[in-house]
Amino acid sequence: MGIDHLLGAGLFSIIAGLLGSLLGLGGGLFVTPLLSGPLGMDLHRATAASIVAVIATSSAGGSGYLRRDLPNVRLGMLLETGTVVGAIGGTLLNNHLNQRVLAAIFAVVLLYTAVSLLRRPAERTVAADPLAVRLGLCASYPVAHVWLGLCIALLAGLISGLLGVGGGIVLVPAMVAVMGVPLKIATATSTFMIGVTGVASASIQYLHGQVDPVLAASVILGIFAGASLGPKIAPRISARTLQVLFLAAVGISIVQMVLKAKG
Amino acid sequence: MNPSPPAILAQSSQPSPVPKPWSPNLALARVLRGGARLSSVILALGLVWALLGGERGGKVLRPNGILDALMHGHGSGIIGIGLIALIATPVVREAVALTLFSRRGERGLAWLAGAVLALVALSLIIGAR
Repeated sequence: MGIDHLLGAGLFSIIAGLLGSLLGLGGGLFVTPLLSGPLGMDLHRATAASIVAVIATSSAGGSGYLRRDLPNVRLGMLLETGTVVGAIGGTLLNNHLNQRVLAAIFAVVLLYTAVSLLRRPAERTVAADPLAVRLGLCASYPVAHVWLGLCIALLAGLISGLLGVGGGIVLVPAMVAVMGVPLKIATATSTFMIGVTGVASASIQYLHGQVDPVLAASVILGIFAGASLGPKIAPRISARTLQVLFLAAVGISIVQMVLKAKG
Repeated sequence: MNPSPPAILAQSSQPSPVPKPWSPNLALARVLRGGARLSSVILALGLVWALLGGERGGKVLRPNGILDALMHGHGSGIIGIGLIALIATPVVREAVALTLFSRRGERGLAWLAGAVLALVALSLIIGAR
């Protein structure tokens, strides 16, 4: 890998972090297609670099949300048991699947992301689950369907471990539509808990010798830089521009992954 | 002696301090912010060092190779330490949550935090095999 590839990785990570911040997603969703597409990096290596960046964005973002008392820490800690189990399974699966299959799964997840973000889940009033009451998960809002939420958390963890993404794209709609958690709280809770989910994947990949430290540092610092630019740029961008930007980013990422899947 | 009516009025109009409900959020936020800052500083130093030393990536590094990389003056060794600090941050946050909830006698949540830590330990064992 030359300096041009490294600079490219840094630049693409800034773009991914900026897009992730503007759209309320982690940078992981865009960084892997950018690294593996235009830069032609191995998908396994790209997901390994991406998952450590997920931990970084979760730690920085989660800290900010906690200071504003936004996450439901108790609910997050419960769902973490599901996401961490899923992440271990997803990482092991990642090691056994070839690049083409991984790319095809990534394309499907990106398509799902586009659909779910364009059709934001509607907040609804639910009846509290007795288990949620017993665990003290309910705040000013009731929390429903705890077991179903845990199953979805398992799926989110699986996708996170498999593709090196945060998994918020599965978790947030589920918390809102299934468990009745308000959107803002769900986003903050997902950001808070996805760091420890990433740890399960990153530990396995780091110990297996799949993490390229120089690439990982470029990606992490690039995503950090991009994510810190997001709040400064966001007020100047209209909702319409943001939607076009999002569709373009997802569209390009899907094309990259389909090309990779076709070999 | 009973207070006169104006004194009672004065007392009742003073805002009584409402104790905030206990929350672990601030302590957990400090751990996450500290870990994110520390690891990003180490990673930035390591990346600069690696680039100045001619390292361009393309090589993987296991945690057991960090000491060797440091001994040879490779920036990737410093980055390796930064990655460990980064990975440890949510783990320390979970351990702090376990301690805080245990002290409060909230056994259910303490067990959940313990379960997550055990699962992270399992991932380390799987990774080391």
